[in-house]
Amino acid sequence: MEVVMRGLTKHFGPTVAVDDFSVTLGDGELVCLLGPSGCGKSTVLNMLAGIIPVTAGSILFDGEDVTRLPPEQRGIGLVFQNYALYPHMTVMGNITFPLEIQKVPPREREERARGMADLVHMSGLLSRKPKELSGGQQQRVAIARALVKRPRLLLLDEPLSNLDARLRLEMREEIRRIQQETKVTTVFVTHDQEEAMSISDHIVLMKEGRLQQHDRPQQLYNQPVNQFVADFLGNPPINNFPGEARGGFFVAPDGARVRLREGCAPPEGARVNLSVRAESFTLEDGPDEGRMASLVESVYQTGKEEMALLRFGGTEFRAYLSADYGLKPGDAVHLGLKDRGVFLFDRATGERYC
Amino acid sequence: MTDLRASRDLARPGTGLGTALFLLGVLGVLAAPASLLLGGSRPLALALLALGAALLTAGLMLKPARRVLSVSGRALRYALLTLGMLVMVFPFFWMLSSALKTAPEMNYFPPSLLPRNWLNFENFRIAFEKAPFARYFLNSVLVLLGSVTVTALTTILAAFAFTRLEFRGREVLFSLLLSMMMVPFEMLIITNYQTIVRVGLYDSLWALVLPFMSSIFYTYILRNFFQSIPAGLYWSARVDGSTNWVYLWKVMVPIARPSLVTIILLNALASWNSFMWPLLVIKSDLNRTLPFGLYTFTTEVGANNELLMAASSVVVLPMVLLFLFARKQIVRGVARGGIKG
Repeated sequence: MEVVMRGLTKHFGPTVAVDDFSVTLGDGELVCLLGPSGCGKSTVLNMLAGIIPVTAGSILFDGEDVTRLPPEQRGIGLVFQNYALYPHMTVMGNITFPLEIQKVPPREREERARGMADLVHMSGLLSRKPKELSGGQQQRVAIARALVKRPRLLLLDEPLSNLDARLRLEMREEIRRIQQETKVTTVFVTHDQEEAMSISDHIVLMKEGRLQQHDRPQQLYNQPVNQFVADFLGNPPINNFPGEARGGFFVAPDGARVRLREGCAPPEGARVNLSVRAESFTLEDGPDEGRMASLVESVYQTGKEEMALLRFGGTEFRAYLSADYGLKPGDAVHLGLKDRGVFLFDRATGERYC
Repeated sequence: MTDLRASRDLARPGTGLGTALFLLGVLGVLAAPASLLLGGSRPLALALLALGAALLTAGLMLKPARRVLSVSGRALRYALLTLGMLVMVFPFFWMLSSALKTAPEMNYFPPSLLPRNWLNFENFRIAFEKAPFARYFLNSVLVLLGSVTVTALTTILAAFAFTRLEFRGREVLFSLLLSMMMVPFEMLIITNYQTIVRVGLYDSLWALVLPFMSSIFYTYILRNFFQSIPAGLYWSARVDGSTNWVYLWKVMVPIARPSLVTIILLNALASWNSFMWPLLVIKSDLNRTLPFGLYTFTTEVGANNELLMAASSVVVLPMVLLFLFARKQIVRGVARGGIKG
């Protein structure tokens, strides 16, 4: 199902939680709502579910306006962070509950519940009570319960943050598999960029209630629209060199300079950040206008590569460099910049020049 | 640190003399009341007690074996608990025993502890003949069922509304209700009485049910429990398609069952034992409930205590049975309320 949000806005008293948020989610996609905590992503999810009323704007499910529809009429499945299983019912009871409400005949109810339990690999534990299950198992039951009524839209609110690291990885893949098998349009809220990058078709990145960028994960990483997006994604975080743009050069406060890529023409004298991902440096033989003359401060072995901590124009930064050179602290090196992963942002507005 | 010391103490062998003196002392102290019961004189008992206490203290000073101390400590604890139990149970026992005695037996001196004939139900027959206890019983049951069912319903609905429904002034309204709990029942009696008389329900069973169809206190207790149920459950259920009504009865009430049972039992007990209100609004004999009926029966049969005890047994028995059957539920309800299960 295609989900359209148009100018979605939510005020809680004087605070604006979501501000003029417009996004279209494609049919059958798994979309992550990503952002730091307090960015309004959960609010958006709750508005999609009908739990939080909308202040302004509208929500369309396949063209049908559901903005004022109560949750039970929206045809959605919802999984909470704490799973919210009914403690007095067995796993079977939990999964059949939505069907019971819909007055599905008992035999069909059970059949469908068994099918769902199979899908989430919980068939053997149908008579258990929730408190007898591990976190991951509860999670599976919660997903089965959300899917058994064949929702048009599946909403997952930070579903993995209550799990330990290993289980989180496993459940992440499980969610991806289940989503691909059922092809249900899915919205997944998380603050974990790695989680979002690894499982989603599209990522919607938010900050302070506003949409920043809506794109494929790789696009988001390679073509951030602004400083915030570039900063939010990537580990280690992107290196930011503050300075000014002068005559096709980036000039650091101490006068160190590097020529900007061709076609990159910010306004003369603009205060900018040159932002470079750690993997976008190349080690070159000698000085050049387009190379950054840097000083190695320390080197860490990571196995196939070396991660070096360097300094350029008074700014410390990290770079992945080939281990072949055997860099040592104190070495002066000349680093070239790749085309990928090198951006120039306006320092005040965060807007991207190139 | 303390653990270490305790274990060292436990391992300490203790002196044989200390242990012996201590045990002798215990024996002496126990012998004192025993000698009294067996017809010994009071000075003898006092002497035994003093001697026992002296030996006990001496033994303690000489450090008796740790095991002996811990066993006697446990024995003392059980002795105290048993004593407490006897104090609580004795009146009930006395009531049942007296109900089975004949009139002459009642006047024995010293009084006999047990009835001569355990199957003497004559007193019950006479009591039931002298006053319509069956009718009182039926009235009590009707009033109890009426007020308990309706109270449970109103309590559940109100607690839900104050927990999950969003409406303007919810908290203010609830504080207002809570503040009404400060008004003593005795003050409400007058206005309630006037109301009952005005609406023409004086001297009817309705007068006993109508003022007791809701309870702020129980609403408060249940609301607290409802609030401990995570909101995620509510929204899950709503998304699953249930309305407030369905959620309340299919999810909230089953989860709150222990609390509910406790509330219902407490309420039943209060209804069953209520005395003052029936005394005010019931006039005719046939509309009396058990406690009130028993009261009038007292004045009628005067000194025939065996009849009174028989009647009292009938009044008390249902509640005792109810407690026996629901004991686990009551305890669980209280415990759950405490630890926020």
